[in-house]
Amino acid sequence: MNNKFDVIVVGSGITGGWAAKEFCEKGFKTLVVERGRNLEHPSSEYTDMQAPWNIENRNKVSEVYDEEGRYAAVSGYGYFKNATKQFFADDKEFPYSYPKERPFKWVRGYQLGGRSITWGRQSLRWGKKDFEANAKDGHGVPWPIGYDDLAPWYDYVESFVGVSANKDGLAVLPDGVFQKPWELSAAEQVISDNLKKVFTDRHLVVGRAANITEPTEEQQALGRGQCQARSYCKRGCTFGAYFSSLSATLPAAKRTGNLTIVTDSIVTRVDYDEATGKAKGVTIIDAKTKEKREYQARVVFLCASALGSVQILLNSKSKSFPNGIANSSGAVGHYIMDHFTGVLANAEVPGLDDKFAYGRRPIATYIPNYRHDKTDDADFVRGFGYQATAQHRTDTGTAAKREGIGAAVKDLSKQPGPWRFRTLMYGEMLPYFDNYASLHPTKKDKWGIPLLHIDAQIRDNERKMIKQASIDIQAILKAGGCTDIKLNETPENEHIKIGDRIHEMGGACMGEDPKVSVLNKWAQAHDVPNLFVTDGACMSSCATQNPSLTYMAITVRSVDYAAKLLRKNII
Amino acid sequence: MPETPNNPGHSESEKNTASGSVGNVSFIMLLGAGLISIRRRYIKYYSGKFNVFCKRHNRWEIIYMLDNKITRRVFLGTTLCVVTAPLFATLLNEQNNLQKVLMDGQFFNAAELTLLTDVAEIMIPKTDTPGATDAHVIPVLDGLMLTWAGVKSKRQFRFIVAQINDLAKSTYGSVYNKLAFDDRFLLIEQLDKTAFANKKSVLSTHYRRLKEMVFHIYYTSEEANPDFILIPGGYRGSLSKQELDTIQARGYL
Ligand SMILES: Cc1cc2nc3c(=O)[nH]c(=O)nc-3n(C[C@H](O)[C@H](O)[C@H](O)COP(=O)(O)OP(=O)(O)OC[C@H]3O[C@@H](n4cnc5c(N)ncnc54)[C@H](O)[C@@H]3O)c2cc1C
Repeated sequence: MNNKFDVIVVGSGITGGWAAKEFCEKGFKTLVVERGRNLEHPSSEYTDMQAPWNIENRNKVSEVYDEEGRYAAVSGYGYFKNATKQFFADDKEFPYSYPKERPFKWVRGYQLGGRSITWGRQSLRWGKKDFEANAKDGHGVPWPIGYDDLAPWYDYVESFVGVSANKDGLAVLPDGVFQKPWELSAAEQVISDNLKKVFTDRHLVVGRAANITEPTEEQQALGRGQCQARSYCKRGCTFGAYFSSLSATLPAAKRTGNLTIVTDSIVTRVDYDEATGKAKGVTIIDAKTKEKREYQARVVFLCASALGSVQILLNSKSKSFPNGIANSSGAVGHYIMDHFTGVLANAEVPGLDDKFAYGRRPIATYIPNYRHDKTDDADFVRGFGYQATAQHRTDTGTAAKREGIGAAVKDLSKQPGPWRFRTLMYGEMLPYFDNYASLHPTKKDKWGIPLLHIDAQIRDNERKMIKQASIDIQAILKAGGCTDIKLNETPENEHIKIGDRIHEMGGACMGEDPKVSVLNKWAQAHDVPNLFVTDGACMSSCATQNPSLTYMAITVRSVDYAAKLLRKNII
Repeated sequence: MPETPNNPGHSESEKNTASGSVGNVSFIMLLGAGLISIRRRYIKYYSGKFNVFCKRHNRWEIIYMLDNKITRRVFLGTTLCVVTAPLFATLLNEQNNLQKVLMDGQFFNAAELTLLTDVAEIMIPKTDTPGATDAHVIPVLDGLMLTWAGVKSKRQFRFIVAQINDLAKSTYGSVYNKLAFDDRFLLIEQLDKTAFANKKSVLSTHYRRLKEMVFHIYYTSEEANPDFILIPGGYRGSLSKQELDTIQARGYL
């Protein structure tokens, strides 16, 4: 096989899929290198057509995994079920490292499509203030771009992705190119209306889902159909109704004839040409045979997920870059962030006993961050929002875990119960230089690649936010008309695992100053002009919104820029 | 803080919604692979081999006997049939109203299956809706012991059968399968109470695990979810009961 391309894209997840599509559509011969196995779409690994009784093991993950210490990072979590387990990486097979007292949770999907198969599809724009935060309060490296730089690219990706959302008119959560929104439930509507009467800054809106409700011609041409409200998205979608690399970007790239994909190929390093001062290409290890191969290209895009790309950068050592490529600043691996929670609340929404819901809405609701600006009651900087839901009324459950057997107990089971609204705080973690990822000095995986060691924790500012979020949510629930509020706050001495929200970011942050940042405003390495990192590693702060839509917008903007440089033969 | 299974944004909604009756679904069964047409949608099922039962004169009769794997209600011609999972042949002991399982399973032996089938039915009896036996809870459990259970669970589930027998002997002086129905019911009812009042004992722990699995299998069964719709077609969040019932009867939004 030819090993020379115009562009190499490392990773085929959300960002890699986009980079591939854009380069291919612009006429560049593009190689996507993916460490995981190949998957087709629709895939025989999708389980979305299985009713509960048809799912192997009634959707229980085999206990043998626990016994063998496999999938420890994801075991027991709601998204890790028998029907979805094939889309998650087993940390026993793909180990990483962290300090014993500060476990880090690295949730990965090693297959063609990466985590675009299992993501929650909440697609939120960041607002102006989110990009200004670092410069304003002095934490981390100031962003070299603002909302206006990304706005047209948000439009562009939303049109292709298909985001079903309401135009809420909120500056903190800018509106975009949307398809028909999902409706609020009766209970959510009551809370949303009540909040409007009490607050000007706290809003409950329906989530913004990368699930199509009004397929465009472009989407239909790719074989994508309307979302059927099954909410089995994490099992893969036979209808292609939610956005994934498999259903959307990779098929679009393929039809240009410019795409080559190699799977089971682990990129170990970006190869650097000392003579030209540019990246030559990448070296890979075949995941199955352990053979090494090299691929060359004029441009390399790292889209291996934030920490995956950091690992590759650090491992790409050369004479000029003894501490990893593009690392003259020493910032590679630093400023690791994630959203964090610490407050879980739920409450009854009374007075709706005659209301019911039908179908499974594939998205929750959202209370966007209303604390960008420091107020008198706040002893912290930045803010938090809440992911929330009351999409169905509760039911009385079963006696599986409580006393009671027999006909009477059975008759009382699974009967309609009250509406309850559940909320989960999502806080903005500050970018701390001391939260960092490095290569383990001695431990290696089975391919001989040094393990990534991740040492990150929340600190004082985040603990203070948790306290405030706990106070605030009670006020919000009361104002929303809720009763019987139940609150769960993480105690101050309990470690909160970074990575738990699966929005890990940072490690190769963007910034104007090459001395303190890794990438410029185009997510282009300051040190190596034909190397770009457009996944979550490039983020200089983490805001509170789910980040993938922003990664997409950054990726397509960078591709557009890189394509111009390629055409002008600058890189 | 533990993540709740319904953590918004991250977890899969497992809420089952209601649909029209099975009579709205037309099936074409092929042996080995089934092509099932549901209104406008076509779903292909690949399956093992089946035993096919038909209801005649109000009794279930086997019309095909093949290796069996899956439970599904189907129409063959105009007759409602049940395609079923490994059903164990049973014989009713009329003296004590106990369904005696006649064959060993894949994991449990016949005597263990007899006890478990009875206990499950006591936990979730047939009323105007199906019970644990109708939902094939114990045949499914028997299979799960091979495909799901770890070493500890295998030990616990086998041990609880012996413990229930011991309890029967110490309480009534006889093994469980020989007790009268009322005694068996009282025994399990009391065990259930104790298991939640005194959570620490080994017996309590094992019993609670068994109960949890019996309930899990039952409530994920087709029999317990006659209203389940695989493809709802949309979401509505504020319906009256009447509006909901109309959509359910239609089987699609
Ligand atoms: C359960 C869950 C829910 C989520 N919900 C949301 C949500 O609602 N909204 C949101 O915005 N985000 C959500 N996320 C996060 C979202 O999935 C990620 O932000 C997004 O997938 C990141 O895109 P990416 O391209 O950077 O990485 P990925 O999608 O992870 O793709 C990276 C790819 O690179 C490959 N790779 C890694 N290392 C190498 C290597 N060395 N060589 C070759 N290939 C490599 C991987 O196998 C993978 O295919 C969720 C994630 C999960 C798991």
